[in-house]
Amino acid sequence: MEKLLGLLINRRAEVLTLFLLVIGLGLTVTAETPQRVKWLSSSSKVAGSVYQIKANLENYFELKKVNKRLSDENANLRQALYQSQFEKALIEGTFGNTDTLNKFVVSPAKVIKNSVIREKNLITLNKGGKEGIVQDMGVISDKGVVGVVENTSDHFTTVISLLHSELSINASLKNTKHFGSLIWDTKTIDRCILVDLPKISNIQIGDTIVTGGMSSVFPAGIPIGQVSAYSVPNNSSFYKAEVRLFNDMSNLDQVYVIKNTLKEEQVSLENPSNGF
Amino acid sequence: MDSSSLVPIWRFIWVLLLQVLVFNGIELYGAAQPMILVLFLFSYPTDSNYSLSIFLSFLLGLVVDSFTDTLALNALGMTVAAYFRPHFLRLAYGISVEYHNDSKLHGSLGQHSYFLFLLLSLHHLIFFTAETFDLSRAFVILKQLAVHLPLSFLVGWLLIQLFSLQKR
Repeated sequence: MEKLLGLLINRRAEVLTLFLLVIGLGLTVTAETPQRVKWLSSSSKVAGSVYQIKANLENYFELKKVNKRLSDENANLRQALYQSQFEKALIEGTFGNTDTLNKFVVSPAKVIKNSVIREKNLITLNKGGKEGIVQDMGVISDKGVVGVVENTSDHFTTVISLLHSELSINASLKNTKHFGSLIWDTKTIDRCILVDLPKISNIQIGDTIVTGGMSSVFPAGIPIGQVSAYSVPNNSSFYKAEVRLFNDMSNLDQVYVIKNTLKEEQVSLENPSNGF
Repeated sequence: MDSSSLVPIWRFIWVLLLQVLVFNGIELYGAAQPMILVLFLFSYPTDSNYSLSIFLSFLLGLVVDSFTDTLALNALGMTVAAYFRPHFLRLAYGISVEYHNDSKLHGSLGQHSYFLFLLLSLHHLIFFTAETFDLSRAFVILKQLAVHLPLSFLVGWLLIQLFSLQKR
């Protein structure tokens, strides 16, 4: 026992290093699970608050630019509002039930931390659980899809960016409605890959890609990007298309978190365990 | 408390603030970020406690990881770099570095640069290997090293020059 104790004391630097490496590896492996170690995340109270202060300072110096962007966005939203009011009136006249039109609730948030250089990039927002944000909500900007909520604390949220090697989003061609899965191949930060798009879809370069609405996360029709190249892998019945994103993922500021108010109903219906 | 014993703590705070508030916001061409955490090890007093340097390095890495959502990758890289620091000191400055009764590093520009390069290389290698977690993707790890290491070295070297000029 004394010998062992003596050895431990003599080799304390090695023992300490090993001990710390085991802790580090343990944190790395456990934090890979969907529910990350919360205090080891930028949505934690301390890190979130520091980023909030930093973002406040930066915002002050960028007010002019932000103002211009918001007024442009406002104009686009008004246009969309008039369009949707028109469509709503049409549907009300035909079906008399407009519940599904109000299915998605949108709340604004600011990006206070963003990364694009990792394989698994995350974004931190300045809103959290207290504002009703929960896991798996969609996040968009005025230009298009940004990502999906991963984790929340009371006042902050981490979002799995479109530039995350493990995120897959249901996406479709705007014109033909044929759909596939949008993934990121980690190569460039302005492009994603659309896979599993049926050959019958007759894709063209320049086609617009939007959310497919097959999942409960995003409403259908939110812009993602434009097809910049496509191919058919050997012996495959599906296209593989390169999509140039509308969003500049390295320059995000104002975003919107989308809540699907009918998500539970949709998921429970789609879940095979319900006996169908 | 002796003021010299607070030196590692001040450097810990300085490096932390620089990395989190300044360099985490820089992503050059959406590809490279200066990772200068090892400046803590570079400037750690040579006559201070070795085990404490390992522990503080782990802690510094972990705090930065909590700001950058990088799991515990910096903590792993910093721990290994701290463990090998005495070996790197001997490689860069020669065996006589152990007999200097002084907390500051004395050496030529080339020796300082070599020491910084060794620390950065090991930290970055461990960081990207643990991030990729797949040795079959060695090409990706090498690519990340080729992109990040020169930038980190340049920024680290400039910071060392800046601080050494201020002290003169």
